[in-house]
Amino acid sequence: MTRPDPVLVRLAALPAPEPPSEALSERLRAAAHGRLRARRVHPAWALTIALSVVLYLAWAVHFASSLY
Amino acid sequence: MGPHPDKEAVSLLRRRDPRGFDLAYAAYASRVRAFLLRLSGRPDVADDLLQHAFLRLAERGPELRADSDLRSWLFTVARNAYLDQARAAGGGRDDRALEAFASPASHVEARLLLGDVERALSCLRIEDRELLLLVGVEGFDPAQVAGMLGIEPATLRQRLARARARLLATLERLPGAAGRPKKAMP
Repeated sequence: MTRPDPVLVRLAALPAPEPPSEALSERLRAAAHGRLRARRVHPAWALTIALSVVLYLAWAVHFASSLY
Repeated sequence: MGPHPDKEAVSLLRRRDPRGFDLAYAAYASRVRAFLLRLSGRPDVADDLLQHAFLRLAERGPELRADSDLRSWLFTVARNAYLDQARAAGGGRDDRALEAFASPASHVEARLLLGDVERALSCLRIEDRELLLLVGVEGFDPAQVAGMLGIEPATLRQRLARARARLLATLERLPGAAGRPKKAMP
């Protein structure tokens, strides 16, 4: 059986410093919850927007070519 | 018995459930802050970087792998943020400036409050200090720390042995150490 390293044992025994303040924790929780709830745009919406741009451009080309 | 708290937190975070964040915060906020405080010696820096690490968790949580090691992830983000800030404070060029920012011993207030081991730790270079904090204080497995630091386990063992030797040498040199009875440490 190996003896634990006394230096590491002494380091492990260091007292825990104070935890984060309650105010900081509350602020951080609120910000983090907000970021988690902010969902990204669904890919279906991005596809719909891209399709409408393509359709509009196709219509614009067709319309312009019908003028001449 | 329920699932491991880390697994549960990661699983909730992947579903964007804020309860996952709360679980992770309750489990690790104090430890991460303690690590940052010992690394920097400054409560304001520790609080700033704690915020950075946990806000990053809220942003990246949904992308974590189901088997992610949350504790290693948080400590890695916190450590990298600290090194970035320390480098920025030193302008990214002058190593002495980096050490001055990074050495808690430069803060008189911190010096007065620290015990022997903490004082000796605070006098070490960042590279030594972070290793001793991660392995000795936080109890990470050396192989895990090698992964976190992006180095080979054999290199980590060598660096750890050197850091340990420098900690002991610094303890011996601390003012007042000569008159004190020696503790049984090799």
